[in-house]
Amino acid sequence: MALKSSNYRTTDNTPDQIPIYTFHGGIHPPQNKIPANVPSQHNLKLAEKLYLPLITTKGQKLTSKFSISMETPEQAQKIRIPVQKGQVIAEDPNGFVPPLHAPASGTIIGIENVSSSHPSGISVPMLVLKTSPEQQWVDLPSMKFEEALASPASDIIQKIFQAGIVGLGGAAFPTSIKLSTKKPIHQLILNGAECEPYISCDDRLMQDKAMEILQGACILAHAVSATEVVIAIEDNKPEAIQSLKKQRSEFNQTKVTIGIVTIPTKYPSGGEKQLIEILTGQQVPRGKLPADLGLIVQNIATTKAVYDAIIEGKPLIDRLVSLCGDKIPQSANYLVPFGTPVRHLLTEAQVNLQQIKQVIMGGPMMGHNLLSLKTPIMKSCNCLIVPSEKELPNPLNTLACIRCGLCSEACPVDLLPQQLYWHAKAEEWEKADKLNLFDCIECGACAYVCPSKIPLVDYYRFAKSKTIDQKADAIKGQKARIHHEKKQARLDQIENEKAQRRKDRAVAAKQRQPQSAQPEKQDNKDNSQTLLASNTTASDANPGVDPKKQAIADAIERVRQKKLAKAHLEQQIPEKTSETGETP
Amino acid sequence: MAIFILLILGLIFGALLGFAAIRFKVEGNPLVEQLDALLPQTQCGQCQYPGCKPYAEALAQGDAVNKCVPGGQETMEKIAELLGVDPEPLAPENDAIPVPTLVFIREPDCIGCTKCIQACPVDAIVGAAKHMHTVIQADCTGCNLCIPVCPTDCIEIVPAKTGLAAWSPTKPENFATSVQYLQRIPIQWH
Repeated sequence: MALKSSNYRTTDNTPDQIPIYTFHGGIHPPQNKIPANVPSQHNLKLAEKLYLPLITTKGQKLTSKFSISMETPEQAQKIRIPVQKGQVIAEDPNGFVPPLHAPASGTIIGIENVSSSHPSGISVPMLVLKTSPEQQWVDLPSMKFEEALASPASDIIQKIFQAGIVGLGGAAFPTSIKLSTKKPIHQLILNGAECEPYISCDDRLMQDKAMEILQGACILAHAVSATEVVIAIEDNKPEAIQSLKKQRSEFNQTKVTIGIVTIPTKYPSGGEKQLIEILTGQQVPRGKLPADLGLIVQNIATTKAVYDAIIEGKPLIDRLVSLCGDKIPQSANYLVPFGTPVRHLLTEAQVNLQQIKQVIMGGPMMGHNLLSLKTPIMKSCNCLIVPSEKELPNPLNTLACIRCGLCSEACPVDLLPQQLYWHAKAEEWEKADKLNLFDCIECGACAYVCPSKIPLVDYYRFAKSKTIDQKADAIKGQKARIHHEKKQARLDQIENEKAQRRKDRAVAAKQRQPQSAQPEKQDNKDNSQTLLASNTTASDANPGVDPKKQAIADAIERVRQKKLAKAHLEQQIPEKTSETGETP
Repeated sequence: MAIFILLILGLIFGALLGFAAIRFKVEGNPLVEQLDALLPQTQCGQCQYPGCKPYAEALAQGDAVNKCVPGGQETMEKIAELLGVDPEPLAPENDAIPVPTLVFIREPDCIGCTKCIQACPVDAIVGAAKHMHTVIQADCTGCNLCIPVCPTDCIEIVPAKTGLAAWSPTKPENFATSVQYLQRIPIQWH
């Protein structure tokens, strides 16, 4: 629960002095961050080929802006589409995912299936961009900071979308959608916690680009009409805090109050809901968004990207990536253009590719192993770890759960990880769902503290995936049932209508019978008397008489009449022939 | 006197019970509804009944619990549990874990005979006589009833999900064999 820790306060000017709360659980893993004095590498050699996925790791499809026909190998070889740095090369037809821009000038030479940065490593189609030695930006519509603050919020949000900006903290959720909330927002929180070990790209950015971040924050605040900005930074980044405070004193604007709040180092305080709890003491209810509390949280790197997009007009084409681990000779934050294959980045960082056994994309707590070195760096990748055996050793085989309960003490969402584990293992999805499995943020704190080394988060991911599949199947089954019942009802109705028509025809036939006898009567005037007799028998038919028998009797009668008529005709025909025979 | 009181009480409770029997009468068989909810609703007819509901009715009458092919082992066990009977092994050819599939009409080969439309139990095929037909993939249950009736064999079975959507994490048994996340297996570079 949200406990106020009164002894944790900053003693600066007012906006920095807000009460700090805490969240349940959390862990303190070794930091292993790149030393803060290592400068970031901005001059990474451009890779020869960049790979730009047309399917995001969430499965959303982008369509290429060019018609690329690859049906025959000859056609595929001929593709040469020149692009300029910053040009839009792919868009989402649904308008949800922001567009993808060319990270460098060069030529698009086709589409190739390359292992994606999704945990499965499944290959997805990617545009292949062959970079050229001369780099040429497209025209960049720059804007002054004051102009940006004077322009309407909807324009700013539209520009953020057009610049391809997504949350750079790891989830890659489109920033423009987060900003276009209808709820009133009073506070913008900049998430500079960067709580996961190893990762230090936001720390570096706050040291190097403090002014840009402050201006970006003002633009974001303007876009959601917030008047307060709180930048939350863990106390293991004193240089970043110092740098931001220095720039704030030189930054003269009066529209928003900017607070720079130091929070205690604890994993996972950089989680959106955890950070809100630290700063406000409020928990975001399940199924609600921070916007429901009047808050919006943005990542530091996203804020810098917003500054670039609005003030300099530059779309999002590169990002800082922490490259660390014992196998990396020079750990540093590299400015990597999107689409750069991991292999190129590692080669440039002087890594001996023969000696590495694994590469982790993302941090050590929430990242996943890469299955291919060809995988490109994309928007959500903030860190690459190439560890040594000693650093992240092969864990011992999982032991049995001893029900020690350390996991529930560590869980930042206050769930029951042990119960969830049992239910996931027994594949009891409903029970796991009832224990709020879907509130799990997959931070890995439970698995970190587990003395039996149970891969708890993997169990939760497995259970979540199965539960989602099962719910989807249930919905589909329900729909199929309704469709089947409707089809069955329709077929039954058609059958009933047919039966009804048959019945109607039978009744009509019965009613028509006397009338149908009428023309016969006219044809055979000679037999009028017998017909009359039969008519009377039909019309005077006793209602008690079986209609079937009656019908048969009628039919026999009709046949008899016909025979009679025929016989009569035959009698006449010889007469006629004799007559005709006489005439000549 | 005692007899009289008991008689009156008996009449009152009898009337109450009689009223309750009419007022709270359950329409249909609730067991059938529960069984129907467990069945996968593919309406494929592989159980030899014309749909899931008829099989649910037959199950309530005591039919074998192992006839649902798309449901597989999991559905069979749930049905057995609900009915309180022993699980029966699935037929060996149905033992494999069912992979969800859909059908796809190769449109250039379709002659517009409407036979598949009539065969589809869930109205997932649209088209008109002598016009091309197509499958509404979101509604297709993968029952494959349209395949045998097609005179031109232009209907093919395709996996329901492909690419990233088809992938889901496997059950982790320990860190060493867990393949997705904090895996420690050697990676094949290519």
